[in-house]
Amino acid sequence: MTGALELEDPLRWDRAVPPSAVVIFGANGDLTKRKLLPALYRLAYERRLPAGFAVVGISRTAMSDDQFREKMRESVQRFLEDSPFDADLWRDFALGLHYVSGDIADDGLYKAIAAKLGEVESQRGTAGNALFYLSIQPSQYEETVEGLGRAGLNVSRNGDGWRRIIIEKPFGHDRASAKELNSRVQRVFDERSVYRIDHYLGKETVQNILAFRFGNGIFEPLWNRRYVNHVQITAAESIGVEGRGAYYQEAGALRDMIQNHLLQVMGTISMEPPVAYESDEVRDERAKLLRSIHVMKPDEVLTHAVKGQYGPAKIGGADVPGFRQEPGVAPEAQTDTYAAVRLTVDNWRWAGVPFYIRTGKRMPKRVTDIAIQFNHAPLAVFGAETGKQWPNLLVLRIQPEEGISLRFYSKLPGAGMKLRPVTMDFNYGTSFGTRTPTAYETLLLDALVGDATLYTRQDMVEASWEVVQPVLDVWSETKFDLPNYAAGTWGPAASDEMLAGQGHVWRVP
Amino acid sequence: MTGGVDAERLLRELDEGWRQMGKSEGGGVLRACSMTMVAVSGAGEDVQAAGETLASIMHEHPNRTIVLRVDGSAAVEARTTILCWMPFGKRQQVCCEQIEIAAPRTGLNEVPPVLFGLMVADLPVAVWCGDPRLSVLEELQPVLRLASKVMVDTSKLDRADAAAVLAKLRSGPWLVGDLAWARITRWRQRVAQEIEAGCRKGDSEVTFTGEGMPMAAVYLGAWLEGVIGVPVPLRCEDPAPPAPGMGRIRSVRLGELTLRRTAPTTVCVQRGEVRASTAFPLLRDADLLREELGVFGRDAQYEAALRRVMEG
Repeated sequence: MTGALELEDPLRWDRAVPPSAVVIFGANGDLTKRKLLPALYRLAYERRLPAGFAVVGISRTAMSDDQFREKMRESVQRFLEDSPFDADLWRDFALGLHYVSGDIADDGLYKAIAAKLGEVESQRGTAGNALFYLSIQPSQYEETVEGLGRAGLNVSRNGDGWRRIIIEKPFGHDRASAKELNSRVQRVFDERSVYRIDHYLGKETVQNILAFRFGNGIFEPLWNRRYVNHVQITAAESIGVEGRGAYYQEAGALRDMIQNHLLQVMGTISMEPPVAYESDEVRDERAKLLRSIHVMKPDEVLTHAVKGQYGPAKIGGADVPGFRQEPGVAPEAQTDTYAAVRLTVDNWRWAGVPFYIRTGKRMPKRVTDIAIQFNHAPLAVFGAETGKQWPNLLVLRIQPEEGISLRFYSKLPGAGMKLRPVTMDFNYGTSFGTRTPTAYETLLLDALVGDATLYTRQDMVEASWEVVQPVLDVWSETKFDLPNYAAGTWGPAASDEMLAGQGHVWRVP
Repeated sequence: MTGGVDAERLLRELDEGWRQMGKSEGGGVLRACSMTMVAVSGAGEDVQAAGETLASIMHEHPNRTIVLRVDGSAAVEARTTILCWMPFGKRQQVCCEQIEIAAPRTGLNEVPPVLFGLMVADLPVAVWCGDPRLSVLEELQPVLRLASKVMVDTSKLDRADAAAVLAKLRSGPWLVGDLAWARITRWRQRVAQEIEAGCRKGDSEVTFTGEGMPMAAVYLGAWLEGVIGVPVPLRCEDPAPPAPGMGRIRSVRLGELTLRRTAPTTVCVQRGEVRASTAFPLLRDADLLREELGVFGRDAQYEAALRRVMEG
């Protein structure tokens, strides 16, 4: 008997990557150096890549294969996280690194890529499989995709290999441009070959939300409007725009964080259980949830959304510039460095439950978490003894200390029935001391094996633009009195007032 | 009460230890536990190395470790300790409990009741016997019956002894894990990966060095037999012991694919004309135990290979 079924051992190792080439546009850029090559090297170190594997770097800068290899070696050694650098392994890995220089607007570049792919296919046995990674300016996406299409690179030479494409966010600048981008990409690659990367979804702790919700039986019965009072999603950064002032000025917090990362997180928190942990099933449920979010009318925007921008402050004896004082930022910029929205979901599970989402730069600390606040106990038996009410709170911490904590009441030791809130903590890092893969390792691996579960789909992107578009429209037509919060604080007063109007208060994460 | 060793007294000692740590550590300590690990060792085993292995496992599988030393003690004795470490970049220490029990072979039947009292409630129990022959001692069978998984390492046994121990062990209700099987995971993974990538199967062979046939090679042959459907020859390349860090398996050949260990950290993968290196640092017992502790369900692959080993 031939035991084809006995080859795989999912208890001890994960899916195998088929022979393939990764073609990176923007190979001389920061993302390639800091994230992509270290992630690919780490996958090789973990024995996840087959012998028939190659990387083809594309960029304008003229470079030989050897110069590209040397540059990548320096980057991998510098940016490899929690991993040793193995010189022997690198030597063989580097043999699969190739480079093609050229201009994205020039059809000659795509012919050169086709020739190089043919070469690596015969040398490295990549079997015609290629994954294109667009790590370039978003304004170049359409041009590049169309260039690939004109050169016939969207299909393999013999037609038996696969061709896929990864596109980095932002997927459009607004609803209309997102639809236009999707439409032009899909003229060249069918939707199943398009992988829109949102690195938040590749984080272990975001995936752990699914494990927590759908791997346990005791939480799901509470996960609805009957028991949940409201949900707060916070993504705060302590740093400013760090030299990205010119880009950030055009993007803003709502586009940069809420439209993509945080709405995907909200989708993961509130979606219905999928019938299976399969790409289409999970994404169908997430998309359905995103489509169920109530789209604000223009007159609701002022009461359901808050725009903020940080001003200068002195923090710990150091002068911190305001956003308008950052290099490359216009002195009258109306950019949102803080955005908060109150969203509701129009379905049976969540009707009437507010989902508050806030994100900002120059906040007191870097933290991303999701807090689910439950209703008070129906009868305050210990009313006078407990002081301020502290309803049960379940916090799913995404960074920096991944974990889960539950707040509940406990009796204070001693006479009398005095209650105090306490927390029960699960710390991801101390319970599982193993190294967790970076989001890019997870997502690159998924794309190479053809698993799109953690990638966003066209309908999800468009649904999330539907949610933020009314806010963008109203904000673009309104002149705000900015800055309205000092660096090192938790945002503008208007944000607190938005919650106070509902009888709620922002947590201090 | 057993020969002066009382589970309740040991637990009180541990509680007192936690109280003292709570007072002395300003940042507080995190008491971590996800299972009970019963580690059984014999008189001839390296106590320090075994202790380091167990401490190393705690980082990923925090547990209450009960070390049972079957040695020449006059009577059953016990002591408790709390092991702590500071995770990198953290301010809070993580601590686990360890209880050491020394028992003479003649007093071993007094030990299971103590172990029962010391097991952490409602969490899995794992048993590890560095010397597999200890796992089949009659006195320890009541302990094994409460275990979710029993792990042994047959690497140091010859094939016949290993088969005898494994035959007895697999008759119990617990899952069996063998570190000799975990030792070949990376070889199997690489072979599977290349076959999936289109590598043509064909004649196969496993080679090794050193005297006697290593169980890892036996397992690898049995697994390959399942893949290609015919028995796989095992050949000794060199009866001299392997150089430090090289391990005993030297190569695996399957059709156009050859994996060959070329250095203590490296295996060279040759598939037709394509060549690549892959990182294969020799694994320590702690690494292998970690892998086995990650498998707490029915291990169909191992069972199939073990069946072939028994039949062969």
